[in-house]
Amino acid sequence: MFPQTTMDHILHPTPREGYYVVELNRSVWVVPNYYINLTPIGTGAYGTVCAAECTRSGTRVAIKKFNRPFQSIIHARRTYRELRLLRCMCHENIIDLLDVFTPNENVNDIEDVYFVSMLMGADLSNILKIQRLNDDHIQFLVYQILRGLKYIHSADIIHRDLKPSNIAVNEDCELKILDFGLARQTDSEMTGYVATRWYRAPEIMLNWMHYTQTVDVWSVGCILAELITGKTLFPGSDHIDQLTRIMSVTGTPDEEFLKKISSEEARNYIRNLPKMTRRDFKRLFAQATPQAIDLLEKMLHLDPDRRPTAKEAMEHEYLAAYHDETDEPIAEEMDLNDDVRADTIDEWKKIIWEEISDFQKNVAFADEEEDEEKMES
Amino acid sequence: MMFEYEEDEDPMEQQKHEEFKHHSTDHSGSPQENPFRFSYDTGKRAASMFVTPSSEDLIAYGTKHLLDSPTAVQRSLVLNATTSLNIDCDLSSDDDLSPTTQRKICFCASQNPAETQEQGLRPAKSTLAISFPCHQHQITEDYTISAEIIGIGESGKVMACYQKVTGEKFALKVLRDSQKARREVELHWLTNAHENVVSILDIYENTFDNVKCLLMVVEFLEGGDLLSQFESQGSIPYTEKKVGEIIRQIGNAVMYLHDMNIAHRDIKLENILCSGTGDNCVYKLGDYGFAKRPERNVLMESPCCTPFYAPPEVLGRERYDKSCDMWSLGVAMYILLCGYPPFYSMKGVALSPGMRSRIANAYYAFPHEEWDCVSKDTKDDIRCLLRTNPSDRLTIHELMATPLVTGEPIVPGKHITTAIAIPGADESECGGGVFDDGFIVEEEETPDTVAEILPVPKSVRFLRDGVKAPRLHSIQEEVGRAMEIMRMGTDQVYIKNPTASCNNLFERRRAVHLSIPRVYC
Repeated sequence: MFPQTTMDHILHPTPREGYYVVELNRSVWVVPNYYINLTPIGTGAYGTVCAAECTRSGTRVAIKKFNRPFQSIIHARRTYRELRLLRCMCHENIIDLLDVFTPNENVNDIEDVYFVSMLMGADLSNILKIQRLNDDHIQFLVYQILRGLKYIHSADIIHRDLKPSNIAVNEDCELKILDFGLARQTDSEMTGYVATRWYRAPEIMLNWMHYTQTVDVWSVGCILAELITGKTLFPGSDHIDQLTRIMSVTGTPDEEFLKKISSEEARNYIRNLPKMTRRDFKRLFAQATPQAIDLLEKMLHLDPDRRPTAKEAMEHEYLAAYHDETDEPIAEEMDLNDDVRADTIDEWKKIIWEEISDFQKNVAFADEEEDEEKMES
Repeated sequence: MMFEYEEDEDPMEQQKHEEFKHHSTDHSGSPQENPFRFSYDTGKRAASMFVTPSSEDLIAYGTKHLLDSPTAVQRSLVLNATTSLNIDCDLSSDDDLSPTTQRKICFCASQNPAETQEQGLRPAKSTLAISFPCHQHQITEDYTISAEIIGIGESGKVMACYQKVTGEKFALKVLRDSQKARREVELHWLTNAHENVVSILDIYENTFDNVKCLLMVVEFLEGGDLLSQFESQGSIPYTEKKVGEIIRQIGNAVMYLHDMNIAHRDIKLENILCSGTGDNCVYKLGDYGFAKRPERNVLMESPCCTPFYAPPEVLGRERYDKSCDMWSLGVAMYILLCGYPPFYSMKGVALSPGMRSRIANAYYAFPHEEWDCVSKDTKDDIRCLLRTNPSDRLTIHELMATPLVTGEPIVPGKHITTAIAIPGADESECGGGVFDDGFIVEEEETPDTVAEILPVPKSVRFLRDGVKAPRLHSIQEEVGRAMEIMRMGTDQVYIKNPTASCNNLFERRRAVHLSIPRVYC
């Protein structure tokens, strides 16, 4: 057998103290010793994800390794923004950041960044492929999405990319919203017959107007419809097909709404479309309860001003079993450091390095506090 | 097997190398440089993997013979690996990463440039940086694009276009430039020389309205896709002979891909294109929107060494991806032989939870009305393709050796098979009445047993009882979704009902409900 140590030494420098090297899916991971049994579970747009066991907390976690976080200034800024957002978010229905680390020893050498969060069993798109949900499931899941959304919106953040694959669920019906806060999706995710566009509110997809938080409520409406029928509501093959599918359900808009569209070309285009009337949702969602249909009617309004906010949607009769305003928290003032600027990748490296160090410091401080409490008791 | 590498090269190999050198000599600035670049990189990086006293000699040897004989570099690496590692190197012809496969890759790469020249492709500035040749100038300089939509592929619509000089009709596929699009074009380009793969004429990199696009001009096949052709004659089952011919041709293409370690991953009747409608039709594989090949890294750069270093999940994953194609071929055979898919929705719509269970557990039937005239061998082959466990399925080489494909005399079905083929592991589950929709456990067949005529599954009966069946296309979509599950390879998670779950938020809500009655305005 070939000497393992020698091979490792050639391929990778010896990792720093407390870290070890593991090869997964043709890439090299360098992680702290207390994360064991790494198993690849997926590849996202900007990183690769592994499931692992954390021997310190005894829980299963998801470790996300970013693809070349310092490949460009855009990549670096995106990495920083996601790190800031995750650090500031603290809500039951939003993915939490348990750990963030880099195996590199100093700021100049930093190349890899890893995020660690709680491992959820699957996302909604996986669930929908193998299981048909009943109304009890659907109520509770949609309620949790809106509960998380209320928190996000109260921080003046718009998710913009809610879709089943960005919603993690485990078998105990615990739900968390993932992958939010991206400023823009890359073009590649908007092309062809792909899922991202199917859940987009029309005004954001087609640049009709300055959009508001209710673009996310439209997405929840699409998700609710899909949970009920098991099928994507608007699986458009391109932007025009998407719009046509939407209008075949919502009907073509009235003049009052058209006045809100700032683009004259868009207004003229819509006016020239054949007239379509709003579908009867009772027929379209024959298997849904009247309350669910009523909520869908409200969420899937073309006019974003007539859509409910996440807060208002939770007050709807359909979610009455779960609504409790005293237990639907909003965000405290968040410092996202949006004004942080850097002109070079090296500057971004320094900023991100400091952010990671600060995170580690806070974790160490929290550990000390726990120790003190134990000593006192 | 080691003896094989001591032989002198045979005349055929010598001739191929001569052709190889000829192209490289005459078109040094052309896309033909790609094969050299690939081989050189492979040799260079692979050499650095070996720590032996003779590493310098190895590099020198590789450098000396690199241009003359890329295959020899691979052979020397294998020999050297064996010598220095003292590992028994058993490279059988079935090993996807054998030197034979490597030669196929080199040969394929060298073959394309000739066609490239004949078809008028000109070298692009970035030839050395990309894995397929493409023009930078506007496609409209060479082709007239019509508004006619020929079809819809995974990556978008396909339009007709006409060569300006000759007026010949082709198909144009426009992809917004992305990593996925590049992979699609690359893998299609890599395999398009095969006679049963839709061939590429030209590739362009153009920008429209500030959007960068890849445009692929491919041959136009007048017969359309096999699903449309099949449906247009009323979905009347094809004979075994005809199905055998179709599978032989498409299977040859799949074998070509699998031998290069490429999985298509979206084989279905819509993606099989026909040159015409007659009996001498040529069938071709198209639409590489989901095609996949393992990404290369240091350990993978030298295919001969992969078995030593690739982690089990990588090898397993490769086999897994290719086995998805075998499942798809099984579904295609089933449909062509009886006129409906193996997995059927009960309610006349493509979607139903029961259908998903049936696919996941490979529950299907061979109703006697359609299947009595199909040979037992062919039914057995379909069973071997539609096994739930990917590693249990036939490989493409095994499929190509079956009587259906080779055209050996077919014995008509001797036994009436009206029961369901059920994996043994699920037998007890079925016995417990999990499925109550007419599926029945298959009895063991013995020559001495006179099989009873058992009732057919309800899902099939409704089809013949006058209920209008949904279009095959929408059912195909459902099967496609089931394929996604296999492609993803994720663990399946079932959500408990909230009342049965251990969920903090739910517990708090339950407490509120019990203690405080709600009043609504």
